[in-house]
Amino acid sequence: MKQLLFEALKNCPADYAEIRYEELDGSSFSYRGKDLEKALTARNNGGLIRVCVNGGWGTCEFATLEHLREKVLEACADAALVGQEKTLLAECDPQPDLLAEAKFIHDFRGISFDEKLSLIQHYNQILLQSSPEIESSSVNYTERFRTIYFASTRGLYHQKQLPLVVLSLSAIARQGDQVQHTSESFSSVDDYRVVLNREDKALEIAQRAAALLKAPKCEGGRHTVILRPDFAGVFIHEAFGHLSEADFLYENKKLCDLMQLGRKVGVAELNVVDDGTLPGMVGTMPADDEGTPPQCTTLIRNGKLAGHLHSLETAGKMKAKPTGNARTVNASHSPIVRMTNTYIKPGPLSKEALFAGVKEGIYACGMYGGQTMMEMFTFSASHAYRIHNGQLGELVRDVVMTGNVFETLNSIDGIANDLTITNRGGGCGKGGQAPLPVTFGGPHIRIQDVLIGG
Amino acid sequence: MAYFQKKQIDKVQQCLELARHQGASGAAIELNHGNSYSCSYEAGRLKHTALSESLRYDIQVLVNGRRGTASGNVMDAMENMLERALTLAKIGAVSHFDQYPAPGTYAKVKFCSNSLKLLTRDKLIADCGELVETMKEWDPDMEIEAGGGHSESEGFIANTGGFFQPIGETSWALGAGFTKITGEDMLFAGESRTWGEVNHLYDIAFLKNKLQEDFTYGSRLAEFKGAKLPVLLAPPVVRQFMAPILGALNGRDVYKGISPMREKLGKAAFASNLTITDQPHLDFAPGSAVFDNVGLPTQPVTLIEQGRINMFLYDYDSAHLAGVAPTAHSGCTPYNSRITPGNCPAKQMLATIKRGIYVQSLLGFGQSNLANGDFSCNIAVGYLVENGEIIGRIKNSMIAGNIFDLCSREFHISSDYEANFQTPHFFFPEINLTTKQ
Repeated sequence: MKQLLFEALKNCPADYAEIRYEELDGSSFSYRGKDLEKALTARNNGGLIRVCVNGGWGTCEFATLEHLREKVLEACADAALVGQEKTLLAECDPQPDLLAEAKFIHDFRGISFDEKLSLIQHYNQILLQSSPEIESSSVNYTERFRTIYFASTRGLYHQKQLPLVVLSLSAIARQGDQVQHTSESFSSVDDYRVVLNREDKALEIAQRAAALLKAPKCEGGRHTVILRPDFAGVFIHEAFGHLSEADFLYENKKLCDLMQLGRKVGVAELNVVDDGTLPGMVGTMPADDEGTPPQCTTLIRNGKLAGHLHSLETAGKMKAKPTGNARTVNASHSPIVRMTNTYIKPGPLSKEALFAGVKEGIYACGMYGGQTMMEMFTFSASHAYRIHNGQLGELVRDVVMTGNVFETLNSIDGIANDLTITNRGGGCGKGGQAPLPVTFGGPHIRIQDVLIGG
Repeated sequence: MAYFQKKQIDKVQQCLELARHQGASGAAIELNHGNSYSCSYEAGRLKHTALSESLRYDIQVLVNGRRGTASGNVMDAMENMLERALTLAKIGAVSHFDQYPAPGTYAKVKFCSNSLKLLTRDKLIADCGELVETMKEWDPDMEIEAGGGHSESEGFIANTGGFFQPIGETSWALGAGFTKITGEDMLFAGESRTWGEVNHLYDIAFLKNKLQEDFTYGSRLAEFKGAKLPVLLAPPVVRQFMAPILGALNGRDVYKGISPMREKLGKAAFASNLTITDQPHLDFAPGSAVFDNVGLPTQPVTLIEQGRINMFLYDYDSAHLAGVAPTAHSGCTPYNSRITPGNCPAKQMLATIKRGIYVQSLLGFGQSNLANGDFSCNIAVGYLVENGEIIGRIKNSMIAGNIFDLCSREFHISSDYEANFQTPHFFFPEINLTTKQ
């Protein structure tokens, strides 16, 4: 494969060119209600040629390795029509060939389909039988194994294997015309056992869905909010993580000026990193999809902007070093700047101190999701509890928060000294590429004056 | 079928026979090949062109009341993938039917248009460039982008019920947008269009005018205090609002008890001015289909008639599950849903607003309990309206409520509609809005 790819790239008329070819094999099973509704297996091969000439890019997506050289030349011709300036890509230190085989703690490929189906059927039964209000359920098991081959005109070559296993559990409760649901998911890149022993979690999910039927809506307005670590991770991902992706900045002078390194963006206790080297995390890769090794990038240090996330192009244009954050969701897409494993670092306070400081507030947990438009962002909790005089109170539902990046990070007034970063299912969406596996996390954090819709 | 040669068609037929031979009571294979070209401008200049070629097949087999599905794109591996589907079917998903139905008679609908040949690479680059240059005239410091492209796909579906039909479509897309930053304020605007034929919808002037409206109105800021206020929703937001309503008509979800509308068939669940039809036979429309995923003929239907739920949507499998007649809706979802217009133009609705909000786009819609119709999201682009005039753009505001509840009370539907998906404006007398003030 190495020879084939480099032969196709040899002497191509471009400032830079790369070929990425991927083999994907996977299966998934889904229960909805009492029925197994989906049993699917897939095998897809394909790749993308990407070429830069005079700052313009041409790409060519292909399904087979036939006529690769012709496809490279076609991409070069297209890029030449487009480009009208100097190509500026950051230099990288020379790297030896990377041959990264998957290292399993417990390989999912050794487990039979019967065993996997039996497991999810077991969880499904727990969900359905736990409470009379549970109307339906959804249990999904997905496994996939990607092998990616990459070569570039910089002489970089890598072969990396990226396995992934995901379990998601969801319960749907019903009372009259009202329907509530809640879910959680678990994933791993190296250990099938992440999907085992989730009986207690299935029961908890189902009981929570039933409880949400009776829970009042959280009233709209401004609230003091404590975010549980899993939700704190969503918060920082949406509130700030995307704004640190340099492909939003590098061609936008005004945004670049707003996000200048050294600018105060949050309270002094706030420290945020994106770490592509964390072992066992779904956002971690042995090299990014341009061949750059991963690293831990500090985004916010003591409340001030400390770094951006880069690809070769954004680093080149912003005169920075590439950070190993050029990622693509699959073989059909070009790499763009994406997060890996993003989290808020622990702070000085105990979790108890955070709660003690709240007369009336909300404790937001889990995640439905989040979205950002750079300045503004939303993030929604799967469920929440009131806080009365520092104590947890009743369950509430429909807790959707919005914030403004220039205000909300400065409204954090408590960061606890715990830290949780967890692998989940799903992922991040950007530029039509979703879901990209990422992790996020943090400690408990307290934020004043958060706007909740309602 | 220019791409697929006889040997590939024969291969599919052989795989279907092999499936039967190996004990399947039914099998279906869909094969699809696609080509596309696109170009994009970033930061006001031509940045990227992309060529794409894709190949895909999906195999489904039925064995003893169970279904196994395999997909792939390596033609030489099709038999191997069939084996994998058969293996899965032995332990796999429950199938509520064991034979594919006989082919029917299908409507004549146009999916492929030669007019896409007009969209040469040079024309797409020039048209996107025109949009970019226009936006630069308003403010050269904005972050400006534009993109366009076209695609064509062709293939066929075959099953053991004797069904064999070619499939394929052409489509184009054209869009543009800008980000205007003033101090720490960011205004995002974007507009796009797509269709299967190059016709009046390929309208650069429309895109320019819409973007200019956003530029003009969005440049002034306005503040308001959160309250229950009248709200006018632009067509893209109306399409989002329709998602839980159409989702509640999913026959499988109705049978499984998930749909909040399960007891409401034939009943007035919505205001009497709401009529929604499904139009699968619109020439060149993105969702059109003359048959569903098992080969049953599709037909135009009325989903909600003057507020009354007329029908739920069932594909072949869920129909057998529920013991009802199938409605030929693949995935139990509509093909091209259309809202019947009302009797007052949107501009007139705007003119009647004493004090209210005109919502152009939302941030975070879908991150609430949409199955229940609940929504709570940030107003990404919205305007304060006073005495019928747009005063300015609002920020840091949230809108929340329940879509089923809102659409069951009095509300108004505009008589005009956005041309691409024929979606009107909706006007609600009051929706809850929250702000920091």
